[in-house]
Amino acid sequence: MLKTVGAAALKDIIGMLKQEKNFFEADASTRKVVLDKHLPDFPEGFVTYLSDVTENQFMKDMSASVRLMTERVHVDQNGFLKALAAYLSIDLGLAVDQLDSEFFFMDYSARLSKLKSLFPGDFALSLVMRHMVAEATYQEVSHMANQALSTISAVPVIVIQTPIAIDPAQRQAMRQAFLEKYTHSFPEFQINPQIIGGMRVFVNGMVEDHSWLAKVQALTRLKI
Amino acid sequence: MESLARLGISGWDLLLYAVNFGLVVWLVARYMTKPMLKMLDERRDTIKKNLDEAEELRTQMAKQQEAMEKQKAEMQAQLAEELSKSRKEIEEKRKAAEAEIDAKKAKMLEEVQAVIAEEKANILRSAEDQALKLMQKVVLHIVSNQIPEEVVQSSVKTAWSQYNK
Repeated sequence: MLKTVGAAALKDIIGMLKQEKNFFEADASTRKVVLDKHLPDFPEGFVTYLSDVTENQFMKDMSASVRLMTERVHVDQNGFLKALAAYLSIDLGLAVDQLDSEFFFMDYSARLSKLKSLFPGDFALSLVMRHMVAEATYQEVSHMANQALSTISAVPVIVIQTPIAIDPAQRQAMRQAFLEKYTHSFPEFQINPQIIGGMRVFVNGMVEDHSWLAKVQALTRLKI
Repeated sequence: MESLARLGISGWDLLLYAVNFGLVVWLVARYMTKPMLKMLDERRDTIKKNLDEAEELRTQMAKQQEAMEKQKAEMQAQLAEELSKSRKEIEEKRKAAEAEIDAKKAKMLEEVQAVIAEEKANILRSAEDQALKLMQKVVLHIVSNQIPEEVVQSSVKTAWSQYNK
């Protein structure tokens, strides 16, 4: 996922730079206007990065991103990768949270049209994301995102189990909270009816159990 | 002499008788007495020798018997001592064996009591576990089938706020 999404973002940026050869000579606000013109709805992380980066730094980041093919590069060393990690953890995460269980039973074309609103724009990045999410299950998207993020950042594996599906707003709030605590994390939401009520949170295998099942088990573990 | 004549003995007969008697006595004294005396002496010597030998043998036998008695006494004493020692050893071994058996008995008793106590505890624990499991099943069955969805949703929110504390 990292290479595909990274390559798509890069393609969009280079396409824009070909048309705006003096891009790096402009100031931040001018750059934003240019980006809005050529890449409307481009992810905010990339827009911020491109608005502030110098040409030299941009070339260094590109060269380091290419080296990612053969060696590990940490997100803190590379502005482009940082923007990419933010896109995957925030934009992709929040978009996926808005998909209900019905989405995954739709046919491919129906899914693509639904995803147009979540990944707007006709540039390579949004096209790649739409197709990637349409072709995968929720668990596959989650797994791919976690794998991509762990390549460039030390992110914990977070799983949240609830007894029933929770509404998208609640899910987004939880994701936001985890992002504040663990930057570039990608929590996965699972439904486990056995826990009856409450929730369980797994962070790198360590569990915090606030489920009703745990409460009943604790109650029944008391000595007679 | 008249009496002798009445008997038919004359003087000449008397004389003859006396001479005859004297001759016999002289002949016996000369030709029988010496050898007889010699023979008697020899016989006496032989008898004395035999008696002496017998006495010596008797003395030797008595000495030997004394020695044997002494040896016998010594052996008896030695035997008695060994017997006493053996009795002591046997007694000690018997006591040691008895003590060992008593110790083994006590240990076995202890082990058996420990096993019984453990079995009792296991049975009690197992009964407790089963009762708790049954209770858990009943509670979970009731709780998972009877709770409205809004309550469950609310529980998720409550759990989230607890986690975020």
